[in-house]
Amino acid sequence: MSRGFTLLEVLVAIFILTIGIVGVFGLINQAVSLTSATHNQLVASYLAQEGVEIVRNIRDSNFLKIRAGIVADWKDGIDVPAGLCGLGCKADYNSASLDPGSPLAFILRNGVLHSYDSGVETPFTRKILITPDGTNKIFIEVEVAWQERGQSHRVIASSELYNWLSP
Amino acid sequence: MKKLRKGFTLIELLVAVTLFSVIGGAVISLLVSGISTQRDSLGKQQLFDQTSSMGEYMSRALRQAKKELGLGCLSPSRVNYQITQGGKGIKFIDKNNICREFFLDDSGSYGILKEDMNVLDPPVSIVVLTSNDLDVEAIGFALRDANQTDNIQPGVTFSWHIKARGVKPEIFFQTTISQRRFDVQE
Repeated sequence: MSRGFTLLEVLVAIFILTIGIVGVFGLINQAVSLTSATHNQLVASYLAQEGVEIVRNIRDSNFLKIRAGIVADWKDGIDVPAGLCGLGCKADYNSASLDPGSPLAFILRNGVLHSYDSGVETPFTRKILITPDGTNKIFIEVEVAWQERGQSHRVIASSELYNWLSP
Repeated sequence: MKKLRKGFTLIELLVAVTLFSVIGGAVISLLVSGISTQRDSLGKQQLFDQTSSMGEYMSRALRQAKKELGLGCLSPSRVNYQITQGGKGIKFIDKNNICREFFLDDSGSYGILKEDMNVLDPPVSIVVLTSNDLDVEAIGFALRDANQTDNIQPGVTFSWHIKARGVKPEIFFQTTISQRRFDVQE
């Protein structure tokens, strides 16, 4: 009397086990790669926020210049000359105006300081898009993009700035 | 004479031992790599949570900082921020007119980000911002503010490199904030 398994039974059992194991491993793998994506997403979102703050800082400095009687448009270095960043600009943490040259350059890191000046290449690019809406409002869109495991990721921060000083 | 064969042959034994060790080895190596991945993930989570919370906390405090107008917190007078501790700290007056300082304490075996909640008050009021699971390797501050007559709105850039202690994950972080109060002459 044969009380073993038939070949078919064994094959079916192995098949089911394999599917289960592959599923579990796929899940683990995805969790690990998502954690890694979270890492870059966190860094990217703060770099995007930095982009918005840089534009705001230039606007506020223009307001100070207007108050001091130094002739300056509130959009100086942001959207003056007109359409300056219509196709995207780059800007460093200490930039006094936005720079329309090569907005797809990689941000560099020197020690801990991120800029376009010097250092090792980070995976991030940052493009600052300015869209004017009338004369007293601009729309800012900062896109930080990076590649990871052959996939493109991006974080976009957007904000609006108004000319509330001298509309 | 009845010949009873109730044992295993050498071949059967060898095959069984080989199979057992191959499968066992695979399972154990999976377990080990699973545990180390788990440790890495926990380290990353600590890193992200604390980086995100500190980034937000420091941004908010620094954005609302006030100008030095006689409180005796910053030198020289009429500035918004001052870099301290040889570049590892920043001092400012918060919205409630309290002199505060964020700084890196790297005197121990691992770096800790700390805050002095009231620099001018004699009882030392230093709190710890990063847990002892993290090692703050480096911190950097850059100011955009010389004086109140340069027509430049003040701002602070802060960046850091933090490692999770004992595991691989590390993070390089930077953000910039622009002062919300206008730097008009006072």
